[in-house]
Amino acid sequence: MKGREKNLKEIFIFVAIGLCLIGTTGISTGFAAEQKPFYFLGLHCLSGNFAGPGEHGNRGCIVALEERSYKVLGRPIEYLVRDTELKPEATTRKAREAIEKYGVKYMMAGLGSHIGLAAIEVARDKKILLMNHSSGSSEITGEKCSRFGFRWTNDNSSIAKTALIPFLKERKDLKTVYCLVQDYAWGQDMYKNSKPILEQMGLKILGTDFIPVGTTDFSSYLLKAKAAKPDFLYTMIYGGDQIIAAKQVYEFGMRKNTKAILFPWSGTTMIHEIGPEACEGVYFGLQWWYTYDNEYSKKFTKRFLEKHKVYPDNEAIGAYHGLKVLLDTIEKIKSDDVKQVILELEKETPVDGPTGKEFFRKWDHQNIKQFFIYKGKNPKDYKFQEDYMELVTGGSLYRTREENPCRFKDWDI
Amino acid sequence: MDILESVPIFIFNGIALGMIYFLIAIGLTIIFGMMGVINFAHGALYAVGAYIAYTTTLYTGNFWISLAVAPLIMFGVGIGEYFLLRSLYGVEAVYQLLLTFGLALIMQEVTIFIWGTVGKPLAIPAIFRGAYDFGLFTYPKYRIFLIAFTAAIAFIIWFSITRTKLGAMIRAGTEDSEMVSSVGINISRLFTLVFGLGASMAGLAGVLAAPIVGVEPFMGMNILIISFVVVVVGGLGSFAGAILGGLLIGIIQSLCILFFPAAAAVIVFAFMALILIVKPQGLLGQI
Repeated sequence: MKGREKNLKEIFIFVAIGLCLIGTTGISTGFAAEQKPFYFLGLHCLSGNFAGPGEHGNRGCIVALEERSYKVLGRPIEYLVRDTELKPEATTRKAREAIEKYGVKYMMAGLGSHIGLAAIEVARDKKILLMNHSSGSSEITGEKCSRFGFRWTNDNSSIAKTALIPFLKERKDLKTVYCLVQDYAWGQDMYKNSKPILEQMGLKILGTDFIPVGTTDFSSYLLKAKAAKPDFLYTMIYGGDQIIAAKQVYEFGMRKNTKAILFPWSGTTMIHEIGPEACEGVYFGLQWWYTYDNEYSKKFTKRFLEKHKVYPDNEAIGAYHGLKVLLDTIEKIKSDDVKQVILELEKETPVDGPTGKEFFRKWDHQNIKQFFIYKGKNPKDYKFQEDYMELVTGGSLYRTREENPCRFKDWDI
Repeated sequence: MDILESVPIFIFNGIALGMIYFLIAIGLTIIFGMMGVINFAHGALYAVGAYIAYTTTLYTGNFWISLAVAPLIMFGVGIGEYFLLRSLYGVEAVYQLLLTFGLALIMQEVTIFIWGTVGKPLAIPAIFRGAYDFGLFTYPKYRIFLIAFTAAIAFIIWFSITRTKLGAMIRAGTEDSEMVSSVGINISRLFTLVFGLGASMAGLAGVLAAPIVGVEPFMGMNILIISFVVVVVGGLGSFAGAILGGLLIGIIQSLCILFFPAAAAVIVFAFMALILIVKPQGLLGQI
């Protein structure tokens, strides 16, 4: 009997342990199943003229998500991608739909000042965190700043300062300048920011032309500029127009007629489209370039190249770094509460970034990073097929608090 | 240099620009003039021509081959488009417009599918890099080549239409297609040829413009507007009108940038509006 009791006891213990194990597994499985996904909204331009760089922004996010196996705080990350169509109304509508449907608390947008401005209004209204990875308008971290908005990329005033001041300090031979300005918000903003710097640096402005957006022939403007015989051709033209302008600057032999030509803001994809011949000897302001010599950039470029088989655009690195910073912060404070994440980012803790140590400034949420001037290399000096650029100078000059009208009005988070 | 001293240079530049505009618009005007079809796919044909130039140059290392390859391929595409349009004969013209617009969108998406959304660089052929020095000013070699090449194309088209038997048949077919058919001429084959020719001209324009404006999927839509302006100003369907329209638009645009740069964006449209008010059929149009 005792033996039988002992056997029953052993069976009981065995069954109990088994049940416990099953129960524990069941609980953990049930727990996992009930875990709410972490929704992240990527607003990228995936159609129209900017679809190329827009896709790079999307790919940058994918690299950041794959690095952590699409998980944050042990929760699965659901990456929602929406096409901005480069239209503010589409951006606003799609962002609102995703926020209302999925309860998105974090989103990324950029590529186009108007897109950035539309997105920050949604973030302000819905009290969700916006990471802007590529819009240049000074208003985003200026007049229209929001405590819910952060921006990785340099703003126009910073670009004008950083593109011009270190460059002109090195180029004392430049005494006269001719300005070509794209006649829309970005170009006008750049000119407004650049003109006083050019004058302060002692350059005489021989002429300025405001060129309509969508111009496909710059010949008459270039002939005018050529006739003025400037030392320096300063070309505030962006996007598809920049590609055509740069090609025609080359075609009209402007490099031989001037001492320097500078496009203060360009992008990787644009430079690839301009082509090696037209880039040679021309200066370009860049947020980042894939041969930039730091460990962070090398690691990212290698990973991106392996994954997507193309060199990353500055859109890609901006999106990658912006998302990485957000997810790292969430992990660090062990909470995805928007308010807590904002407060943590406002501690201005420098982190490794694509251009060195970077941090978001507390009072305007502008990322403090380097901006660079690169020069198109002679194709004979390329070490690999896409080795278009060599670094000339860089810097990190931003508006001071006195210069910047940003005053957060939405502190009550 | 004094602003008035610059005027001849800007007129010359306007002529060069006008020749490029003529080249872009000629395919559109040929198809409309001969067949009465407003081909909204014209811009897409131009873009595909540019992509063919890019691909041909990439694989052969020779840009000039694309001057033959692109028009040939686009001739075939044009014939295909015409066969689709034939099924809409006898219905309202708006259906033709819708079809050609739809084809333009399809071609654009196919272009993106094959070559991607990111534009492609195409360098100016080595022989025409740099500029000629004219003493008073220098001017890019490639643009001088474009002027000469376009002038040659214009002459060949003019000669073919006005001085050959084929040209006579086409002109007759335009005037009265039933009469031409009744004398035993296959009018359908004739129109197929014209449509193919118009499409190949669009492709050729794409090839020649690619080194100076780049190659990207939406380039067709950008030039469609200026093509229509040239055709409307010169006269719908008029070959000589396309030349005159192209030159006038080029010169006006160039001089406007010299004297009133702020008006550069609207001047050509204002001029077109003026022409439509004063002479609705266009400067040399008969319709």
